[in-house]
Amino acid sequence: MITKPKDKISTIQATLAISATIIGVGILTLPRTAGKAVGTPDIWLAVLLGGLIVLVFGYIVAKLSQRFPDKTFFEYSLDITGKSIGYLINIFIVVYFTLLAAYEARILAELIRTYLLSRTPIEVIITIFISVGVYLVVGGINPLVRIFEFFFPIVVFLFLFTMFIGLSIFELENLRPVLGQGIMPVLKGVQATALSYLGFEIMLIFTSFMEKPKDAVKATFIGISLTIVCYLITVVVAIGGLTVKEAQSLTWPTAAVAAEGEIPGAFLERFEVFFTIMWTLAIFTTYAIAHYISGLGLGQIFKRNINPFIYGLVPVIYIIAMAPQNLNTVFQLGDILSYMAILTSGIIPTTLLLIAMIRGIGNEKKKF
Amino acid sequence: MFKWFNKKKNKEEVIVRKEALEDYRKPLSKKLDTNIKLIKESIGHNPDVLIREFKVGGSNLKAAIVHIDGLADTKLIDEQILKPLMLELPKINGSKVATTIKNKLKNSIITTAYIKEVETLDKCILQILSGSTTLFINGNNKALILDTPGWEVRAPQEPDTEPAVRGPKDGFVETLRNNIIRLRRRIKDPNLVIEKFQVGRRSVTNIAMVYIRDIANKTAVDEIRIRLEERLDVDDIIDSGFIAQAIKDDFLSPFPQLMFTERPDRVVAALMEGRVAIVTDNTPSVLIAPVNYTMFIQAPEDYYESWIYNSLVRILRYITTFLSIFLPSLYVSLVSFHQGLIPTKLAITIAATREGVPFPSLIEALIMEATLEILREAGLRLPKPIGQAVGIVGGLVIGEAAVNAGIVSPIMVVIVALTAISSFATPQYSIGITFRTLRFGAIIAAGFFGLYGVLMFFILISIHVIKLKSFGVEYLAPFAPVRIRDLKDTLIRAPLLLMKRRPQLLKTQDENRRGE
Repeated sequence: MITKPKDKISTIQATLAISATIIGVGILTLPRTAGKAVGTPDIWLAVLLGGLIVLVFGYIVAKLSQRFPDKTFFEYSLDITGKSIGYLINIFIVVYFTLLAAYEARILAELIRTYLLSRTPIEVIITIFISVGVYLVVGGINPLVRIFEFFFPIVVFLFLFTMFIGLSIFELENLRPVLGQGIMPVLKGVQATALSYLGFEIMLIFTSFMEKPKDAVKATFIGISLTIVCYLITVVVAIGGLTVKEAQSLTWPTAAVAAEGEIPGAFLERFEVFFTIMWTLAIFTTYAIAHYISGLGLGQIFKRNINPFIYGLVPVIYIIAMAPQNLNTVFQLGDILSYMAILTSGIIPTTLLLIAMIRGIGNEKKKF
Repeated sequence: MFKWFNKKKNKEEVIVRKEALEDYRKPLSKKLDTNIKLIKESIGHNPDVLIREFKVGGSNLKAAIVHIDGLADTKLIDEQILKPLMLELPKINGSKVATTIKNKLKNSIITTAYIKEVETLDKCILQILSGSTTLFINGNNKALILDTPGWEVRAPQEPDTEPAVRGPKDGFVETLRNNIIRLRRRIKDPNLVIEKFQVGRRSVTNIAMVYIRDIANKTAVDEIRIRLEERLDVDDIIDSGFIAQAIKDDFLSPFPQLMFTERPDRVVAALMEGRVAIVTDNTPSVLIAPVNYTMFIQAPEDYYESWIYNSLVRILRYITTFLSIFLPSLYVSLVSFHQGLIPTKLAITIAATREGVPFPSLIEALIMEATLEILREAGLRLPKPIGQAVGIVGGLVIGEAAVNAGIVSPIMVVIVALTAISSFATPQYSIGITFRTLRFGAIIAAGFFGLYGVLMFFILISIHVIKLKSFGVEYLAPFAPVRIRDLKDTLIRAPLLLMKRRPQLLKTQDENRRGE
């Protein structure tokens, strides 16, 4: 029951873990954030470009981790930069993932309050959510990745189903004109869309758990590509159904697509319930992984068994999740997380990889 | 997970428990009289222990046989032991050494198929109590054990718990030996291994672990053997359920972690897949391990008919699984929390039928589910003809009356009935119990938190099942971890021609089960 460092995950599991982590809160608000940043119907181009940029960083993350196939980031960061800076970086990453967990929990609670339980106190929703999450997380890495495998087909099915329903209000006219104002708005929006892919940095840690670390690049690429496809479908259906203007103004534009779509003769009146189920599962997976990584990070920083840290993080995550007074503050927390993500998944891995290459640490000779 | 539990256990004083036969672990004597005295002292207090003293072949050599009335076959004893010894034996010279006589008897006189020599009293007693006949010869400190089973065996019939339209109609019975025969007749592979254990200090129950040596995964076999040896220090094993509960991985889980079956075809299929069967004496339920979840959704019949039809049946079973756990809770959450999600016309109908029902839908659902469980339990315990009457009276009359009286709404009756039918559609009784148990959890979750509660309950069960392992095999395989090859035999049942390999999740030694 205690997490052993020996636990191994397969390439499929790693791939799905990446997709499951990236697909979380981001996709809920993607049409709005991207819509605001781009301003024209070319959002899908920005999403695609953002995805391609992220693939580059995914490659860097995977390459960096492959140099240390039997160590997690929290261990090899010390090797690369030395202890003092290494610990600082580690603590930063732990803080990042703790905030991410809290953010996911809070967004889920907001979503549930909007669409399912309007009168239940948000504290209760979050408490239940975190408790169920802890039950999973204390089981270690293997149950964690297995739950991704189990939920993945369900999430994909529900996703395609809701998007299919969204097609009923789809109008191709809303996506036109393509590049009506040139490429500039797209480029401006790339930063926002690239940030919606945050989550692939889990490969910093997961590579060390892989049975075949040499497949890390493959797993990262497929994982991110799956997400790009999902995001593209979402954006195309959302903008095609709602228009850019409407997408910019709605709090949960992706859910709105599902809510407005209709199938004649269906049993249920409104379909956002499927959407909510799907996103609860998707957010749950992101939450669990974030919680696990912050626990693992603390455990490896203090060189202790990680389960006490996982339990210890529960009140911390709860307090952070409850801290924002209203939805706007929650989204501000999301913005802070995005900026932190630039560091954790972009700048830090790139710098560390450069230093490692210059200092010649890690498995350089093995060409993967 | 339960470290505290183990710690506590270690601190406790080790209770010294006696083996039932411990006091009799002493060598036999050369003198016949002493041996008979020993037997009389140990088991002779019971009237059914028969001791027959006689003289061998008209000579002066004294001998005696001991058996238990009814357990050993008297006819067999007469014809194969007493008759040759007393009448047909050629004259024996009195001068000959007793050992030679014993060997001569053993080799050329006594005609029972199974014969064995023992030297200690406890083994004699155990063999007598198991239905064998023991022959003592004066001047010999070894006794001959002659196999003469004579108890009654129930004729094999189709098991009530697992009926099938197609497939063999014989079922396991209460005798270990006959059950093993049933497997033997179906598998003529010399690699079939039958490992025998004796467990239960007082009952001394025979159990056999059966597997195919070059298919089954060695680690799983060893794990099962270790658990059988270490965890079964009990006085008695009344049913194989005792064994299942003792050796399963997680005793807090509501999910069955070993499969019970009374169908030999199912056991043979499992053995051929690389699983292990545990046959217990005195019970027709044979255990199969390791198991995974999909096994409980499969029926032996699935493989006997067209794959197209059976694939549809499989899909149906997954749907009934879902319905039998979640249908009432979904209804409760829709009615009490999310009326907006129901189409307007239906919502009006439901509201109209619920008018006058005094309870919130949570209580209504719990009342109906509880009533149903009471009816089921009553029907089960009563003699069969009355049991059916109870079902009809309960289902039709009470349901109708409850609706007319306005205690429950008719839609709730429909929901509960559909759920009940769904849960009875599962091919395995033990997983049906699990679903019924979980259903109550789902209803309560729905009553408090609506769909969110149901969803969290679903995630909770998923986590539990995903953590669960049965002798090293992941319970939710091949879904998680994904074993793409094994998915051919889950939601659908692919044509047998395409299932060339054994299940990957069992990590068998010999993977191919079909030629090209």
